[in-house]
Amino acid sequence: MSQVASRGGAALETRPPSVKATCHSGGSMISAGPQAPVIALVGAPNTGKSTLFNALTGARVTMGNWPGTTVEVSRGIWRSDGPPCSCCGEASCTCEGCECYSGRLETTLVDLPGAYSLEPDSPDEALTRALLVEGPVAERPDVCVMLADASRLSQSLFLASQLREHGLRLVVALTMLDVAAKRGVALDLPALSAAIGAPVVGLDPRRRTGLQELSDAVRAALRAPVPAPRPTAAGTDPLEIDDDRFAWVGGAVDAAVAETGAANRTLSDRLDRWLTAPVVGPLVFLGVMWLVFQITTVVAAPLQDLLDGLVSGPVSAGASALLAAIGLGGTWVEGLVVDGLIAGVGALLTFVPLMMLMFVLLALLEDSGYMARAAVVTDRMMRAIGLPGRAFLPLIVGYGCNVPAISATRVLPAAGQRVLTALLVPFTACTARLTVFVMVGVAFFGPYAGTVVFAMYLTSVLIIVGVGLLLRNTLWRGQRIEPLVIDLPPYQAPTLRLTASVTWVRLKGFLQTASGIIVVTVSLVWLLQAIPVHGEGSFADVPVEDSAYGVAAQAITPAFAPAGFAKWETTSALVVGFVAKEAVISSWAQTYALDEPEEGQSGALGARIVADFTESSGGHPIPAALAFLVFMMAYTPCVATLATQWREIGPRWTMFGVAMQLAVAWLLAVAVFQVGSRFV
Amino acid sequence: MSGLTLDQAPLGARLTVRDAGGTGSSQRRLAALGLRRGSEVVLLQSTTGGGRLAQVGGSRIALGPGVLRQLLVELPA
Repeated sequence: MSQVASRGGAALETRPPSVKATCHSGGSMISAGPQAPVIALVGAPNTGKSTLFNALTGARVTMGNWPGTTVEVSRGIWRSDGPPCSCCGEASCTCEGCECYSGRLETTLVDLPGAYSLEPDSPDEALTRALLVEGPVAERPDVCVMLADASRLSQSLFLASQLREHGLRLVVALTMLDVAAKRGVALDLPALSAAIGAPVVGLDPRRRTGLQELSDAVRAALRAPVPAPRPTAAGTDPLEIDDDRFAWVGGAVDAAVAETGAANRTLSDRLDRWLTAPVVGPLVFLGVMWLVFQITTVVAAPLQDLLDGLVSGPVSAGASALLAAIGLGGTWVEGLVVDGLIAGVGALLTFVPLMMLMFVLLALLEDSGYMARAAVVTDRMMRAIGLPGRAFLPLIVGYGCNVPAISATRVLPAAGQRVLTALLVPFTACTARLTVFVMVGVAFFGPYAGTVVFAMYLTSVLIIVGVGLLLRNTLWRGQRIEPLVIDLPPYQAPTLRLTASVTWVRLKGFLQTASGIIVVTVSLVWLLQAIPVHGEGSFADVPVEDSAYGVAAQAITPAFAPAGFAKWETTSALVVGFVAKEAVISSWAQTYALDEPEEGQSGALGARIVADFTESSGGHPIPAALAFLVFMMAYTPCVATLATQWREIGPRWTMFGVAMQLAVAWLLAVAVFQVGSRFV
Repeated sequence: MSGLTLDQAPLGARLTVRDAGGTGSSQRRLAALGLRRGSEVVLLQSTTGGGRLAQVGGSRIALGPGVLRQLLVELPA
């Protein structure tokens, strides 16, 4: 128990958290009102808990980290109609003294993190335990709906054996009855219910069957008194207690399993023969990842360009015309609206198709069951840098774009590994950085530009491995990754409704968090470029070098002297690159008042940059350019990445990440220049 | 009645777990998936990276090399 207390205490507030106390979780948390019953959904990961939650609550959902933890808890309102009254036949009975369940019931549904048992082995399980059984009885949920997988009944019922040891109204929702049937297992639900001492309902959250039965069972449970806890083994030896629980589970399974035929080899079993096999498995995995990468880059790009063109073209022009019509054309208001607000919203919008595709792909990979196989295939390789196999997906996606990659870290079950992966993703060389690599590469290295770009990708991999090992041996030292033990769920055909609803909920979350940060930052950059600090300019009409922005860029310039590119024109491009790497080349063009070169060329702008680098490096432009590229590769990718990190791992880790990226980028750039300038 | 660790056990045989090994928390995790002393395991195939796919009760579990070395099993008599 001491371990329980310390593990739970580290993540939670001193007062036991409660599913009913919504006040400290922020006013925005949805609930059906303080008097409405609170229903908690519990169950092992991958039993369809979130799917059931979505089916019951629709879109009326808030998702967010539980206060003080990195554990995500969803809350929603579950409205359900009871059967018509048995005496009057009305949908909403008004008979005096009638005890039917008719009428509409509104409850607050809380989707607790996945837990195999009430022994807290992870922050998720610690929170589930704290909310269910550690608080005072009045603070516990009114009904606890436990999902159990019928195709592996004995494993699923272990949690039930523990829940029944506490004073909880339990309803068991049995899923995967069809899979169990295919495997030759038929279940007697009334017998199971009698053995467990709680109502049992069969349902399929993906096809939304059995939901009315669940609602009826929950209504009946709410009216019944809290059942007496199951008597437990007298001893204190954990092994003995577990033996007692398994004996109880064994009894329930024996009572319920009516018939066991020879287990047929299902399609799932035959697929796994190939998909997890030593050679074919990785090949299939690479194919799937290639497809994900193609879709997040090739398919998303035209959509992004379309939205970008729409915002920077007709929308901006329309806004300008509108402002001109009311006499504000050419004023600072136009600058703020067009170059600040609209540009910021535009930057956000261009991410929408990309994020949507990413979320659809994630939902498909998770829902189909392939994600668990991919984790098996990549486990060994990722383990070398202290990450579980699933971390491969976000890192691959990062080479397309870091923003969806950060969101993809959700495939990782443990919070610690999610944070570590989200900190490594910014070191993947996204395609926005590629444009800068190519332009600088062509300007400095001519025909060898391709090799230089390839070297940058290699650098990216090396930085990820290096920083991964560094973090693993310092901040993550205590966090041993669990040895690979994955329960492989049966493959399923993904359902359209589920994919669409998961995508929508995640996209909404991204827009809610990212929109503010992106729009504010883009507007802030505009504002800093509009404020004149010296020279003759006036507000919103000032050369960049005389603006607050230019002065700030000049102020940080000396820091890059040891890296060989201490020119304010260069550092100014770096500051813009902090907002978005796509803007680096256009900002350079603006600063030098030269035309932006065609894609794949460097033009007059390239020549100017080479001249400036030659000057700032004291005659060593090549190592200075390499140092610049390495810095470009490693420092903060863009504001949108930060906004997404903010949402996924919180402000503190995001800030830590920024500091780490800058430190790594600066140190590597200085090392490259200092070593390189001795030879070239 | 020969005891051996799971990584040395043959594919296809009905094995009985003698000791799940490891620490309390890893034991509980394995037990929650049905791998505890007395339970029956059949290894189905090797997986990428030196692991095995195992049939335990109604479910199929992928086990990494680390876990395989920690699980002590018995071959059928």
